[in-house]
Amino acid sequence: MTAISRYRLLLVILSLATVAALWELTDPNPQTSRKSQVLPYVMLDLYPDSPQILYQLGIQQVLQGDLPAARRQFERALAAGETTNEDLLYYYAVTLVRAGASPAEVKQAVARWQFHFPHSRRRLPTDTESNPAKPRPGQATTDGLR
Amino acid sequence: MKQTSTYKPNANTATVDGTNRAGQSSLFRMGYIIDPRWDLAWFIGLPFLALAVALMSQAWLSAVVIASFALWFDIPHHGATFIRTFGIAEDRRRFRQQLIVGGLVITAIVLVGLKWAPLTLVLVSTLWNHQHQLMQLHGFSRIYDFKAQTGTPTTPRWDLGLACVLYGNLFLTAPLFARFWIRELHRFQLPISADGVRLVQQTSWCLVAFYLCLYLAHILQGRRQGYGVNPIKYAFIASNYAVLYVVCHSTASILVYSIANVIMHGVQYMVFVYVYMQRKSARETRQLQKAGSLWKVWHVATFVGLLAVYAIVYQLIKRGPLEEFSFGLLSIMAQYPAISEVGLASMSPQTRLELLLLVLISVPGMLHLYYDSFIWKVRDRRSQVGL
Repeated sequence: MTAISRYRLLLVILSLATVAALWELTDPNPQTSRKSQVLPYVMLDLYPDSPQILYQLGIQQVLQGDLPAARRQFERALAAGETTNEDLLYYYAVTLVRAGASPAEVKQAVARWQFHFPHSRRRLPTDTESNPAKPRPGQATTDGLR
Repeated sequence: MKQTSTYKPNANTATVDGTNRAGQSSLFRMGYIIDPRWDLAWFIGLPFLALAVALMSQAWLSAVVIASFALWFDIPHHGATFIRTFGIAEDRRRFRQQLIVGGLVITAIVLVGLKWAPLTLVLVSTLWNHQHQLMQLHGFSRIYDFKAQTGTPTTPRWDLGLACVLYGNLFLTAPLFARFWIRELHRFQLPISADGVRLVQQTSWCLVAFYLCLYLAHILQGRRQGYGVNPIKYAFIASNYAVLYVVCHSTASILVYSIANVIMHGVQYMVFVYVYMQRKSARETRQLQKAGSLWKVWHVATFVGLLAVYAIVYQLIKRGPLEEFSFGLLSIMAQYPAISEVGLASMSPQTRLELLLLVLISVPGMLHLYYDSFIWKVRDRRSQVGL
């Protein structure tokens, strides 16, 4: 067996890693590129009912200050069975607090977050400082999708 | 390396232990990895059990369950690779150079990736994981042909094509995976549109249908030439891919996919390693005795390894700076500075510790991917002894 055929897969992996790493190092902040900003809209078009997309839409609506709409998006994502996205569970509870939902609803949302992520180090959503950042002046509305 | 057939059309089909299969239908010849009962349990029925467990976990258990299944099924199956690789003296000698070079290169890839190019590390390990899964499914299907002495001399290539088409289509069309490659294309400045994605996915489905027709024609042609077919192989392929397709297309849950996949992939692998080691060691007891015990072969490496583990454990308990491991030359912290705009602090000592542990668990995982690429070859006569 020649050295090349013996190490064929390792060479392929090494080559792929080298090319990708060079790209990453020369393009250290890809999210600023105009082409990358199209991605959320492509995903929304393809998978409008995906829990991940619904969560991102919810975050965008939080940033826009539309808490009832954000709550609806988060609840659609949760109804799809998403339980592994801690951000979704956590920010849903935070949104309920900020939207002035009933204590029972908040308690249920917090309990769901703590059930799935018992070791989370995040503050309780009922703490005032836990609220997600408000949109900065002039911030593009698509930022929240990323 | 060319695939070669070790059998002739219409030859008496024999099991690996040499018993004649005369009396079986010449079209369908049964061959099993273990035996009919255990193959049904581990290789054909298991995917459905895995799916049921995953769905029940989603309904009743917390997200922590993903980590638990990874702990009890994924991590041990990495260990099984090391038992298989280092547990047989003959294989340690055969693959000695690859084992050493592979260990060094992969450790370097993980370290360099974590320090300078974390996105690349994620990309490479994700793609390699998919390739590894594809090859495991393909490998098991090849064992079925080997055990039943079925298929034509070109069937191995057709089977590889089938695996590539079925798994490739899953990767391109399932929403769970499509998100990954669409995002990566955009990252590499190849902004595919939604219509472009749909075109790729429709083309992929058409290719699957076309290839399945060609594959069927291949089987029929082989039959006309007198080659047999092992239906258990196709039951294995159908059950495993059916569950994968159902999980990836009908549920959007990462939890369901992760659990089902880790049970299917991990358990089948561990069962097979156990069976392989038993058979191979039983057949090569004499050679193993010549090579000496593990301790005799590895006593220097074991001693040095124990000292290294002691030093690492000591440093972790002391919570000393991790840079001391590399004489201050490597600083993972630099890759993850504070981001004041979002109030994110720089890396804490705890996170640094977690990153080191990530290195420690990533290296064996990637070694498992690499070692499996050359230690399992159904066409390898010396490996066939254990099949």
